[in-house]
Amino acid sequence: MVKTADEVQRDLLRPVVETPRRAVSAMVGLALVVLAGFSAWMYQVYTGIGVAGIDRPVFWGFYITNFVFWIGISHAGTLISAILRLSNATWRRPITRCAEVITVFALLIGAMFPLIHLGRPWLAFWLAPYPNQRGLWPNYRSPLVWDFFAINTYLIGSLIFLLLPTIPDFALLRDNLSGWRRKFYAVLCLGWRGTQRQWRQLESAMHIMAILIIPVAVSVHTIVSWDFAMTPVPMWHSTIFAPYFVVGAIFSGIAALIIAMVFLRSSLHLEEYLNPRCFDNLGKLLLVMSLLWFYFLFAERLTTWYGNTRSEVAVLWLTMRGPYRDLFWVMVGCNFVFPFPLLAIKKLRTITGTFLASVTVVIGMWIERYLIIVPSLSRKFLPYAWGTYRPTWVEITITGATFCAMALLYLLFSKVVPVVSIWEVKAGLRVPSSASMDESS
Amino acid sequence: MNSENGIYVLCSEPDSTEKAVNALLSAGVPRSEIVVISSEPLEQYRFVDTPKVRMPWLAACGAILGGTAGFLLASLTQKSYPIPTGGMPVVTLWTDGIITYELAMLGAIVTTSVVFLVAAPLLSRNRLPYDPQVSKGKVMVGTNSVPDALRNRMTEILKAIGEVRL
Repeated sequence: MVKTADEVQRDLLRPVVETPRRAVSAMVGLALVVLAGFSAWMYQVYTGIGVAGIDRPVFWGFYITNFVFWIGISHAGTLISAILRLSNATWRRPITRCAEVITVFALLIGAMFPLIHLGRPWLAFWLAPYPNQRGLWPNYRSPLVWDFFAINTYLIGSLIFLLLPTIPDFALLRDNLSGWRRKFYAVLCLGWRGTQRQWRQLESAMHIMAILIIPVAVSVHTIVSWDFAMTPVPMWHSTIFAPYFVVGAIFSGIAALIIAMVFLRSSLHLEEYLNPRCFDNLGKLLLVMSLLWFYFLFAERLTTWYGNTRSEVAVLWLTMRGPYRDLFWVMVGCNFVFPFPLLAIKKLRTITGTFLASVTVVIGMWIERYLIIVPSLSRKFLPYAWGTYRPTWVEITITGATFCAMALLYLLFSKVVPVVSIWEVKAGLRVPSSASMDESS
Repeated sequence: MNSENGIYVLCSEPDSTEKAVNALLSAGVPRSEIVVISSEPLEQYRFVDTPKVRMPWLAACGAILGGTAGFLLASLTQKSYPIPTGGMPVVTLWTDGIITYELAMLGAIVTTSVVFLVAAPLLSRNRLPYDPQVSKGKVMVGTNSVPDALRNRMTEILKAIGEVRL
């Protein structure tokens, strides 16, 4: 059944206007876990970084794993949205905002981890470039300073990329609500009326932003990879790291987007908008990324094995045959063996199939980040620098809380902003090829 | 003499919008003074002329400014607070290039959004006509400057198309 513009508007405004009791319960439950994570962090701040498992020689553990993982997740949104906007893919309309939101929240969560990892977060301002009496100045040769600039550029860009197309929907909310909410949205919509001039300028701005945000997104994860590749640590100092990280980031990002869409679909009753066609197309993208990820993994491992440098091969076998072997093979299973048939066979590439594949990919990609960081640090060149790492309850609690923080932020966002862009879907109704909302159901 | 008060008609679909625009044009209203307001972009229709804003060029200027600022930030501070580099150059283009690139992109992004706010224009203090019916799917067509002599005739013509607001 083809929906009218009025019905589309009513459907998509409903999640903002109404708050079902189960949404409130979910928010309370998630907030409690986030609070537990925050308490664990405060405990670490009060007691000292010693309560975390990181110690010589493994100074990067769960926190930096989470940092890399969440920055990777952030790649889904803005990058996919920008590519789909530029290619004018009609099926993008219901999913662009869901994707863009992931980027902003994942970046915020990811950017918190260097602060948590510092142990003394009140000194975080030392990272910012400013002259001071101690003669300390951020070293512009350090990839950590490049991170500072890259992540902030990406965060600002993604925020603007998310907010620009939201302005017309804020205007819709202004006209459809009353009381303080009307005033609230009247401020947010910045006086938007919807003149042809405004629509055209928005179109131009979004086009330019889409072009700009793609190289920024690629640069962010490239620079995150250089945090590792610029150091002569076994299996880090590799030219393949930048593209490998970018591919892994897009891979995990698409998986996170599919998971978010499945929950939004069922909890906000958006079945007719986030339809099987969206999942089928995203499933195909996920399949391509899975193959690319496996290709990079193979290329990295093959060249290390063939080069046969003692320190490098030691880490290679440590992950594949040694104490990390279980994690390694679970990672390969989660990122390639399990999702491949689910995504390659058309009959299995359903909403459930893509969801299951995505869940395993997210798990697999978190493990991959862990396996990049910890084994290399625990087996450096000489035996005096060998060691082990075991996460503590503080790190595990904070890690768990970030996943709940992501879900909580997403839920809260869906209460303030329509998670599916109303004007874009309405405009799509006038495009002949996408006139039917449920053409693929 | 032009009246301060404009005339607007609420159309229920793009086809009647086109009729309203044509009626205004045939009444002698210049295309540049016709205003069309809708809750969606109406991508297939080009009802009115909008001033050209060279947004990509301005974004490029923003990128140049941002990049220059980035390079100066990195290179000048490296010179002002030199760190021991073991004989290597204090200012290095390889690494400063990364800061330059990131701030160039930031400059372009910020410029694009500022140009959009100004060119749209948003945050305008002018009280411009608007009807909340637009958010219910109506398309508002009209002009702010109607010659007094034509007002009655235009009202009659537009009434045949939709609900007229003066």
